[in-house]
Amino acid sequence: MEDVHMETPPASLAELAESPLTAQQPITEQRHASKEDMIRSNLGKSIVQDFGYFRDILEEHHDRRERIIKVSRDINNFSKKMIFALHRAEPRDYLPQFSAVSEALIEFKEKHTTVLKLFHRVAIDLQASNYYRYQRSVSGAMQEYIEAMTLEYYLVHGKLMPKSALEAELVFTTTSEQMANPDLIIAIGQSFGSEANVADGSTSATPASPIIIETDQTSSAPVTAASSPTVQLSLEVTDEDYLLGIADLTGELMRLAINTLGQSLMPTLQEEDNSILSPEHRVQHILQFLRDIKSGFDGLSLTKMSPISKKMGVLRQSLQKIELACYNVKVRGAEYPPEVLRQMLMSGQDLGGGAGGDSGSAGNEDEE
Amino acid sequence: MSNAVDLGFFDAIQASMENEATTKDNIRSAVRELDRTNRNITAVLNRVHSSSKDQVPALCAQARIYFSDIQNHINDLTKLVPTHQYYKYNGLWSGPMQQACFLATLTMYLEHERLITVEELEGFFAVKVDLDNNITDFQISVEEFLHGVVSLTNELSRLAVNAVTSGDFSRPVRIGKFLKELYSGFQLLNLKNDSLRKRFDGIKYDIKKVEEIIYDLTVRKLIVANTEPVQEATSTGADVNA
Repeated sequence: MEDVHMETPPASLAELAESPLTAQQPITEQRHASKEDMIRSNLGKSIVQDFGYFRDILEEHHDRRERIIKVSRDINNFSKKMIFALHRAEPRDYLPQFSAVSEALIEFKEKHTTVLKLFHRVAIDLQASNYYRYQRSVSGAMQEYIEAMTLEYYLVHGKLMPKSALEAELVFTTTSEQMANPDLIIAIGQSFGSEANVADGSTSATPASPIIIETDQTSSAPVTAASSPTVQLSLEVTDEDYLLGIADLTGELMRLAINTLGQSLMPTLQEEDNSILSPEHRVQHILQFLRDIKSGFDGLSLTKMSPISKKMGVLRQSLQKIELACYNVKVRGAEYPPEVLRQMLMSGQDLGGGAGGDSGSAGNEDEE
Repeated sequence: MSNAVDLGFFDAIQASMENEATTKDNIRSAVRELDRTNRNITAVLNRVHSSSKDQVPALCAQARIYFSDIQNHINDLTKLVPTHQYYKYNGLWSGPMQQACFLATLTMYLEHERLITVEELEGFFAVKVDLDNNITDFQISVEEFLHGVVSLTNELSRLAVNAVTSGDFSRPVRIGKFLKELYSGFQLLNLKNDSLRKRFDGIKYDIKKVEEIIYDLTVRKLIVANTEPVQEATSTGADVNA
């Protein structure tokens, strides 16, 4: 029932007036108002009865948070898989003519679609004031998602993905049926078991829906279904989440750079078509990109307490690791056979690089 | 190559972070005012422990004067919180707000010997209580109110001790009855492992303390067991039983 209200925050009443929702609007408002009025008129009669209402109010809040945390966990998982898929793809896969047939990128897109559905689902619970109420529960997932999206954007466009582009994707058109039953958007809690189902055909009703969210709306769903009005739900990307997502991105860029540097030492891959940059050039580009990001972060005045300043250490490490790797290739390049050098690079990444990347994502999981 | 990162964007973020810091500073200074008035009221109501029972109405009247200041402070605070961003800054005022809820709850108890209603609480602060998760702007959350009620139980157990000292033997009995009722109310809540839960766990010690007082009084035949002292069965006392 709280969701119904959330779709009609006063701020957007004016724009909603033009939407097909107009017909349904008074009903929602009325139903909503009556619930609060009902509580109000019954309060103050006895302590026990009052506390019964307080229990319901608190429980609604806890349930909502549980739902959000569950979806966030799924978003986090799928976002990580998106990142793995990107690392698996070859550089040429990112060219427009190959991206549609690249297995890794197809997987990325599937996961991306799933994650967007999950965001759509969680958006129902995160409207109006509820966004900041539960923000800490989603911010970890949001950062992981930002990390994946900015990595893809860099690989395709060679640039930093602007926040506005991220937010543009997080706008969802929701029907009242979906509001009443979020399982219609996507069923949650399956990211480990039958994830294939979720990835390709989540629009179809999943046979064993593990979590059915009960809302008071369910009973009134048939009434609203007749007109089937839609509501625009959007999610905001906070500056902090965006910056933290980018900070995590630097860890992925480091991994990418080291891998690319390794490729530059493989003679078989040297004679590729010239539509893509050589590995050396790509490493240089990543390096420059990271330096630009670092100077952007360095321009921010942050307090010691800020979670962003904590991530700055990781950023510096990633950058130094690439710089050192480039140095090593330059200095020892002549002394070792390329294959040995490559082995050294890769093992170095596993030791230091893995730790750096993990500490970044571990921070996300600590949230809530 | 270096235009891959739009540095102007970082400037924009810097600006918005500075804005947020300013908002927080403004809220903090408004909260500081609220806190100061809270302490004034606390000072007034503290005297209830050393006053005779006929002085209590005067103390409550004095406390109520300060509540209009609290209304003003909260009104200032309301203006500083952007729409839909209540929970972004909630941590800045939640503590003082809980204290204010407690003070209103205590005032109401001292006046009428019953629990404040939500409506009365709203009257004290001229702010609504969020009953249906429909906050857009500043409201009082149910949690904040309940924190205030927990503080009340603690304060009343102290009052029970001091009432005996000042010769009012019937008050502990009424307080004991009231606290048990509150406790059964709190038992209805399914509390998560949060701060409210931890504080709720403390209520039983308050009740125990009051029970011990009643035991002491009963054993010495200072009160008659299981009987309300006749002169204290006022109409307000009856409200609680209703």
